[in-house]
Amino acid sequence: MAREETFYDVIRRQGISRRSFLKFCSLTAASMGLGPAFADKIANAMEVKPRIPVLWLHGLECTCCSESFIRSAHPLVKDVVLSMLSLDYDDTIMAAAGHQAEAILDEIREKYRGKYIAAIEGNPPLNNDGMYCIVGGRPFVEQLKEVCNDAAAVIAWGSCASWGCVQAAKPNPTNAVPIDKVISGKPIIKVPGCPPIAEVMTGVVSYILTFDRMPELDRQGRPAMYYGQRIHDKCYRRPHFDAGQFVEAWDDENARRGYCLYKVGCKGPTTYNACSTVRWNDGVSFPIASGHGCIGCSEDGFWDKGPFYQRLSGIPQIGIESTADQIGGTLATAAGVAVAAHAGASAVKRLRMKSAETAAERERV
Amino acid sequence: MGSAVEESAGGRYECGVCWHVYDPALGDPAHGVAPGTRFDAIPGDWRCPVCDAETARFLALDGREDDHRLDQRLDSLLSHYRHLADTAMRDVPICNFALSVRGLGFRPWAEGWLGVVVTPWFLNAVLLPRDPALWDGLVDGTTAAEILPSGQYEFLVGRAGPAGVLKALSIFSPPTDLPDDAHAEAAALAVIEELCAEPEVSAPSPALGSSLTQPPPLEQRVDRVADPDRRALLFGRSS
Repeated sequence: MAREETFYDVIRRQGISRRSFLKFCSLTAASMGLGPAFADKIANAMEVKPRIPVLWLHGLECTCCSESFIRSAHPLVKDVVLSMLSLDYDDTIMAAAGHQAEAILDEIREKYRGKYIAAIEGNPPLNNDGMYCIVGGRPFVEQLKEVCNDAAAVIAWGSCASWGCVQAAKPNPTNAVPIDKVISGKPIIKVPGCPPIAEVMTGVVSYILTFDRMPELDRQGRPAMYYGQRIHDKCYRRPHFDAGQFVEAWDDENARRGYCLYKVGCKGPTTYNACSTVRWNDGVSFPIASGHGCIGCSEDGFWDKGPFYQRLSGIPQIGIESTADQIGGTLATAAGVAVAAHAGASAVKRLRMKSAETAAERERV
Repeated sequence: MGSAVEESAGGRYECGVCWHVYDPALGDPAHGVAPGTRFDAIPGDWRCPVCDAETARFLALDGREDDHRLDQRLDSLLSHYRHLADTAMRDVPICNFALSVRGLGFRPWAEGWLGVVVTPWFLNAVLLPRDPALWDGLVDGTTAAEILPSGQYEFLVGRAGPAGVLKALSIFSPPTDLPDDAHAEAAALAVIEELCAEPEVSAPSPALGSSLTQPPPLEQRVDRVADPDRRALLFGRSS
């Protein structure tokens, strides 16, 4: 019986050197916050494990997630991860079209039932029986349900699939909904962002591949290793916030000095994402480093959260979705002091950088 | 934290090169330093009488002198933040003005002190340098990986007006959920305790060991000297 093709086979066939393959593995391990020993683990997994088929569906979306993914700076991502992922169906980038393409979809579903990953970019509109997004002559929502039903896991790429994004913004004429509103009974990993960071996208996939399981998710279903901290927590302009140095108006003297952008509307203090640590374009920059505040594109309903250039006035904290007053009310008791202490200690634990050993410990649990 | 400010001769200092101890009570009459001269009042051209090291290489030997300097640095830092609370941060709606500006749990650590600073707009773990000149070259907003007893953390370099350079690790910002100073203090002390906690020793992981070739543990390679001391190790003596 023919051996199933591994990722490494594909990589070698495409003429990628082992050196640059290993470099990709260590970059990916680093972006996950794991130690160098994990680069070996990732490399090992890619060498021995058969590649996982991925069905990449597109609903209502702008393709920015695909753009981010295929333009990620490391050449391996462009050349290899796409084939490594065995993207058997992706209506934007596959060669097949029409009936031929739809036949692939059915074939993979039959052949790898319960084993493939459904990666969903965009979301389904539900109004008028879903007729606002038609794929292969049928409403997208039907295709979505069928494909996810037979998948091992579902990845929701971007804010569209995770939260709804612009097409679900008020008044939402097509009744576009995030995919977890129509899919049930399947683990869904939300990778929000408009678009998500390429390294985060490949990191999530590499994690599933390496450890044969889902990454640890937070209470909103996002991978904790990339969405555990706010932009504000690790922003390089943070010392200016602490020191009360703000840009008061665009292009004033403080803007030239690179002061904090909070007063011109930066949403960094409420946005959970890895932009300020992983950054974009091979770690070159991110919006705040280019002089523009964060617009909070990876947060639920960010289009409806008021103007981009108006300063934030309220912040829900410690992951609890309620106003500060409500939390204050619950904390202001004798037990509240212990809760505050616990919150402090767990915040420190989150900030601790994971060594190979501790990550391995967690791995075995 | 030592609040008793010694008005007398100040503490003793030890040379970082040869461990010669400068005692202000004795001074160094042979080199023109009268008994009773505080270490920071020694003329700039004075050098270690044993190894000729500069005064910058000396480290405080007693806690008192160190505490005095910490009090000064912390006062300057906190009064700067109090000033900000009344000026730049006054019209920032995300501030939690139920909290007052405080420094909590400061203790000596490596090149300076580690503690927690609470203000209405942040609760940060903060590293203050004993000698600010040492960190002068650091650029605002760069990350500095600091290894504390509990593990490694990424601090951010920043400057706080006249109080100068510091490294900060953001814990809560803004500290909206802490209703009053008592809660902030509980959180701050828990933070410093967690940062300084020794990690739990875990058994070597067989899962990891099987996939990697690891050198044998240190214990198996060398005969362990019980409680080795620095001098014995450097001079090749066995203790």
